[in-house]
Parts: sequence; C-alpha cells; structure tokens
Amino acid sequence: MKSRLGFVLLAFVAALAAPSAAAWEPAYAVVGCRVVPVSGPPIEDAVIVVRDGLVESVGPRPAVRVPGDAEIVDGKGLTVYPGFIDAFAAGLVQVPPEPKPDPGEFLGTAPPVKGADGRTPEFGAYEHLAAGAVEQEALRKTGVLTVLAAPRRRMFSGRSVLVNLNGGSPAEMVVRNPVALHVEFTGARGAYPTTGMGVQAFFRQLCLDAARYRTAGSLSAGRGSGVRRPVYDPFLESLSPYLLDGAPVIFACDGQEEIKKALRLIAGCGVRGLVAGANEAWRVADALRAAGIPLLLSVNFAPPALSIYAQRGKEAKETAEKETYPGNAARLKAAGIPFALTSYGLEKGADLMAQVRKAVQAGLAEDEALKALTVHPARFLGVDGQLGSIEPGKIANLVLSAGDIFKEGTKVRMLFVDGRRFEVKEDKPGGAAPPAPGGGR
Amino acid sequence: MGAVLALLVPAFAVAQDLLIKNATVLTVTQGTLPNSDILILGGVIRGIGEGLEAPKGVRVIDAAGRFAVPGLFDSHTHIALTDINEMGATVTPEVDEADALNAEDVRIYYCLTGGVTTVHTMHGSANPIGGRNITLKLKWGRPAEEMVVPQAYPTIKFAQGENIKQSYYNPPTDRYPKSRMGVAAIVRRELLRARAYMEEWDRYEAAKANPERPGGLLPPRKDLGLEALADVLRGKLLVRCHTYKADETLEMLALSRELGFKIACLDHASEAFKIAPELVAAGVGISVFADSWSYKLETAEGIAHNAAACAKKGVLVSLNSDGGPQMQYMFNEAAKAVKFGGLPADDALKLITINPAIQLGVDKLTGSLEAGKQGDVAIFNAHPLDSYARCEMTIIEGEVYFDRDRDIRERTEKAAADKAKAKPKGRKED
Repeated sequence: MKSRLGFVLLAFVAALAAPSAAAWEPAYAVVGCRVVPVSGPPIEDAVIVVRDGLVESVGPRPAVRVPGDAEIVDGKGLTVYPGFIDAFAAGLVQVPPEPKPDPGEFLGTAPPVKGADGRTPEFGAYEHLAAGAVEQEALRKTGVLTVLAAPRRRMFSGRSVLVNLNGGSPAEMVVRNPVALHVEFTGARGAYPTTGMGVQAFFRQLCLDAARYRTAGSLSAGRGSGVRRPVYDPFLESLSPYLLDGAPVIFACDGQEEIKKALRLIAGCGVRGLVAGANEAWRVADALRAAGIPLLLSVNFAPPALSIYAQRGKEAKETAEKETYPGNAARLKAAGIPFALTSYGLEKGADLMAQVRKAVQAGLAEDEALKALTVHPARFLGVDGQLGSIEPGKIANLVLSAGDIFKEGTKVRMLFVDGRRFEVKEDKPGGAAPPAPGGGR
Repeated sequence: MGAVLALLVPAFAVAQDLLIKNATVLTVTQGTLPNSDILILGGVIRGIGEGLEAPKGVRVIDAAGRFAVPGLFDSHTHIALTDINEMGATVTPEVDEADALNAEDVRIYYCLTGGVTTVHTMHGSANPIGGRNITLKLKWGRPAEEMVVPQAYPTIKFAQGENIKQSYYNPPTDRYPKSRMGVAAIVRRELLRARAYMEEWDRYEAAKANPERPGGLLPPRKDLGLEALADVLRGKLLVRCHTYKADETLEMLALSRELGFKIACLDHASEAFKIAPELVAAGVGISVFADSWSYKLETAEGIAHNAAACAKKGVLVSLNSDGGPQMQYMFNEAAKAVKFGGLPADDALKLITINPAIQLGVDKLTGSLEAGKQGDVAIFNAHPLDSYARCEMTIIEGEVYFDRDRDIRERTEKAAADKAKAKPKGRKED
C-alpha cells in the first residue's frame, strides 16, 4: 500500500514538473494566408494546420481540411515563413566576467587566470542561457524563433545549445544540446598559449594527444596488453567527441587570415568544422569553395581591425562598412558558396533582420537571404529534419508578417513557436508590450 | 564595390614581363653595367645587357639616369605578423609564424617604398627557444600564402641575454630563466630532451617491426615542439639566435658544436667584431644593425664599425631593421658600412642583398641581378648609397609593387577629388 501511494505521489510530482507548454495549446488553422515554405514554391490562399507543436498539414485552401477542433486564425493579408534561425547568437549566453587584469599579472608567468585560461570546453551555453521573456520577445518579433546560443570566451570557449524561443523553461526550449564546441583564436591569459599561433599549435597537439589518450585507454582495457591505463584527463575527455569523433567544431573568425587559420586546422586535424563570423569571407572565396565548409556569416559589416579597409582612415572605414562589407553574402552566393546569416558580432541580436535587409540591398536575392535564415542553418546544424521549412511533421515555427518580410517596415503580426501562438503588439513608447495570450509566464 | 577592391591590388601588377631600359645596373655579384637593360619574362630575369628588345606587348620602363639594384633583403624583421612572441611558455618551438601571417600590415608597403622585396620575419626574443620564422616576398595586395618563399631555409628563433631575463623582470615573477646561465641550460636541456625523444621513437619503430612483439604496443606521445627540436638536431631546421655579448655568442657556437645543431645566422651580435675569427672558423654569419648600440647595457660595447670590420675579416654579414623604421631606408644603413669601416660600395650593398639571401638559402633565386634569377629589382634615382638616394620603383618577380610617380599622381588626384567633393557643401569660397 505504502509503495503504491508513493508511486502515485511520485507520478503527481512528475506531472507537475513535466513540460506543459505544448499540452494545453490548442490546434490552430491559419486560413487564407500566403505560405513561403522555402522547401517548395509559395502557396497562395493556403491553410496551415498546427497541432501539438508540429505542422500537421499545409497546402492550398481546398486541399487542406480545417479540423473542427482547431482555432481559426484569419490569414488574409499575411505571409507565412518558417521561423528564422540565428545560428550564432552570443548574446543569449551569460559568460562569467573575467577578472580584471592584475597589474602584477604578466602573461605566462602568473598562475592561469581562472575562467580566462581558454580551457572551458565543458562550459555549457544551456546551463548559462540568458534568454528571459524580454530577450525572447525582442527576437521573436523580428521573426527569429530559433537560436544557437553560442559561448564566446577564449580558445576552447564551451558548447552551444540550439533553442526555440517558445517562452518555456530552458529544458522546454532545447532543440539540441550540446550542438558544437566553440573555438576562438584569442589566446589565454596567464597560461599557454597567449597568441593565435599558439592556439593553432595547441589545437594540433591536443588532436594528437586525444587520439593517443584513447588508444592508451583501449589498449589498457584489453586483457594482458601490458599497457598501463592513462591518467584520467577530463580536459581531453571533454574535447574528444569534437576532436576525434566528428562532433561539430565552430571556429569564430574575424578577418580573412583567421578564416584561413580555421580552414587549415579543419583540414589538418580532420575535425568537422564550421566557420562563424567571416564578414570578409568573399576575400577568401576560392579557399572556402574548395574546402566546402559551412559558413555562419556575420551581418556585422564593420571591417575587422586587421583589414586594409580598417587602416585607411575613418572615412574609408565607414565607406567600406556601408558599401563593401554588406556585399559579402551576395559575392559568396555568386561564387557558389552556401551560408547562413547570423547575428555574430552584432551588439544586439535583434538587429539581425535589419542587417540582413542591408545584405539584400547590397545584391543578395531575397530567396537566398531566406534560405540563409532557414534551410541552410538547419542543415548546417543537423536539424533540417525538424526545422528550416514549412512541411507536415516539422516543428511549427512560423512567422506571420503583413507582407514581404524583406521590405523595410514590414510588420511581423503573429508567431508560432513549437506550435505555441504569440501575437506581436505594437511597441508603445515608454512601456513594454503586454504579454501575448499563451505567451510568457 | 569594384572600384574599392581595385585599390587593394596594384592595378598594373598583373603581368610578370618587364623590360627595364638604360639603367646603371648594380648587379652586386657581377659588377656595374652602365646603360644596360634588364629583361624579365615570366617573373625571371632572361637577360641583362645593352640594347635588349622586349617581345611585343611587354611593358618597357625607361630608367635612363637611374640605378637598378637587386630588390633589398631585410634579414630580421617582425612585420606582416599578427603574433610576435608566444609568451605563455619559455620554450615554444611548436609555434610557427606561418600561422600568424598578416598580409595587410601596411609596413609591407613602407618596406616597398625603400626598395625592400624580401624579408625574414621572425618570432620575438622573449623565449630562449621561440617559434619558427618565415621568409616572405612583399607582394602587397596578394594573399599571405602567395608571399611565402618556400625555398628559404626553415628557421627557428633562439634568444639569449637580457630580453629573456627581462621579459618577465618587472614585476618580479618566478619564471625560469633569470640568468644567462639559465638560458644556456634550457637550450641544452631541451635539445637533450629532443634527442631522447628521437631515441624513444626509434625504439618504438624497431619494436613495431619485430614480428614477435607483444600485443599492446603504445606509440610514444607525438610532441610537436620536440618534433621541431628533433628537426633542429637533424639539421633540417636552422637556428637564428638573438645574441649580443661576445661571451654568450661564443657560448651559442659551443652549444651548437656540443649538441650538433646548425646556426643559420647570429642576430644583432653587437660584439661580433671581437670574435670574428671564431665566427669565420665556425662558418656562421651575422645579421646586425648598422650603427645602433648602447640602447641597453648589454649593447654598450657595440660599435658602428661592426659590420664592416666583420665583413672584411670574412664573416658573412647582413644588415637588418628588426622591424624598426630602418626598414624603409636599408640602403642608408648599408652606406653607413662605407662611412664606418670603409667597406667598398659593392660589398656594402651585399649586406642588404646577396648576403642575407645566402643566410636564408635563397641566393640562387634572389639577392643579385643575374640571368636566371627572379626579377626582384629596385630602381633608385641615384646610387643607393648616395645620401640623396630614394627608391623610385620596386619590382618583385617582374611585377611592379611600388611606383613613386604613380603614388604621387594618385594622391594629387585624390586630394583634388576630395576638394571638389567638399565644395558643394555650401561652404563659402574666399
């Protein structure tokens, strides 16, 4: 009896703690909208049925049955896109601040500065997610519904998490965790290596060390091998999936030389690499095309500090920012190189779409910009079965806008994230928008 | 957009064919040829002589009244790099300046304005055993990897003396070494480690080849730093050592004999004049400043006659800028060896052309004007050792990378355009 009561109690507690966002959300049918599924041609006068967090059906009005239990959303005048994916959002990770440099701290001789030693591969963006209701709301109303929350620290920064901005708990938001190991060419403070060239040498050494550590481990586990077990190394353990087993490694690259550094490490060490940042990637287009490495392009158009564009005076730098760097994506497209567009390097992640519009003005076709926010990042991050287009069975992340999203001034009216509806209220000066029905808690 | 890009690449640096007419050619290795032509085709000098004809379409530069010299070679600098010193450790042979190239360092262009076409750009002197260096042709506007001279000796930076001691002097730290003997001990220790490392791998390879070997054979740890030092012991990676005082310079020569490594050149070597016979006997050259000394205590006994005195005694001498402002006037530096020590003009020019090329193993490619060598040429308005000399044009492998006239013309045009642009802003003209 006692044990049975215990079980019931446990089940009750479990039910309380269980994710509930999707459970009480009704089914919706958006009727009469224009759908841009990205995976296929646009559909006029369409119906999309959303149920249980997924797209149940989508198609032209006569072909799709509107279920009797679905709440009808009038889609007249609205264009529906798949939710946009920001595949490098650093702003949503709370990175512990580094200690201020001590006047007595001298590179390489003081004890390593904790947290600034570049050895934090186990640092999880999930555990340090800084995506509260306000941050989520700000991104959602630009159409960004999925973000790769990416840690930016030194060298081995940590691991990213892919989340849907569904207003739920961090656990409810996760699409995949961890996604990738994040690497910077910024050296450590108070520890080897302090330079970018040192980071590269260290990376190569660690690839060798991780392989030998594993060999030693498996040899020593064999009966009578005569090989002593290696000393447990949590650092190598943490890196091994990425350095040895093909889990993705994302290199943060500012400037063309860093892109080339990343390409050399990726090819030389055989890791599955992605290049993030790269706002002057067009300058190394040949190398990128040959390497076939996915690009998570920044839409921050400021020339990197080492670039010649940044060294010819303020005026030339501003001109380059306005006229040259926004053309990065268009040139890559012309060179046949696929990319995602991300908020890498932007002060505010919510500026992503405004910057993407500048890339479009600089010659990037709208449908390419759309792919760079949907199917391409989904494929690069290995979630194209769930995200990136509007198809039955995929996650119901939908952006409903009053017209063409790339047109200046087009308003986003409504969003679905994991099938949950959010309405976008007009910004009121001096006050936050009231919480959307079903949103925020 | 296209126009902005064009600024990055010299518009005329496309062909590698060029005919320089009517110059006074200072070949450096084969004397002076008055009123002569240099024909460069496909980046290579095809002929030097009088009355050469250019194939159709080849650009002709009239250098009448001007002096053509080999592109200058700065043997020790720190330009075109994003990182100089890996200070995270005292022994860092695994780091490589090839991983730190910066093709858009404007100092590349500054060097071109002084006729420099080739540099040996180096790791810094904070560590007794630093990182690997790299030799570059200063092809401004080209990607970094196109600048690398793959035929040059691979070199690694060693350093002695105060920079190692004082890099971490203030505030006081517990970094080892803090003395000259500590530096020597570290070099010996590390190279002995590398020797043991090589032996460990030899034992492993032998064990692996043995068919009776036991089941579990774990390879030794592959250590990229020790791999580099093993290459030093094998003579595949040559040492360039930063050194000042004669006693420690001799000490480095002794270490190289003791441990069996090759020194490509001793850098700074401000007391080399005291030990010229020893340097000649060891067959080791030096790369020095022309007349810079007493900038710290360990250089107090430096003299301006160092380069000339050593060269006259048969030491292979080159001059360098160390990345200082001299990088733009290396020809003035060479002239100082005439002034201080009376080196003949041709020998003084060797200090910044063929000698550094020999020190880096590229004297078959560059460093003098000879048929078959790469077309690296600097054109001066006067003899380059003349106090009033200035470089007019710098050519690398037949491509013009600096042209003073063009620079001045473009600046004038830009200033005029800017002025014209500023006018419509409603400013009153007086």
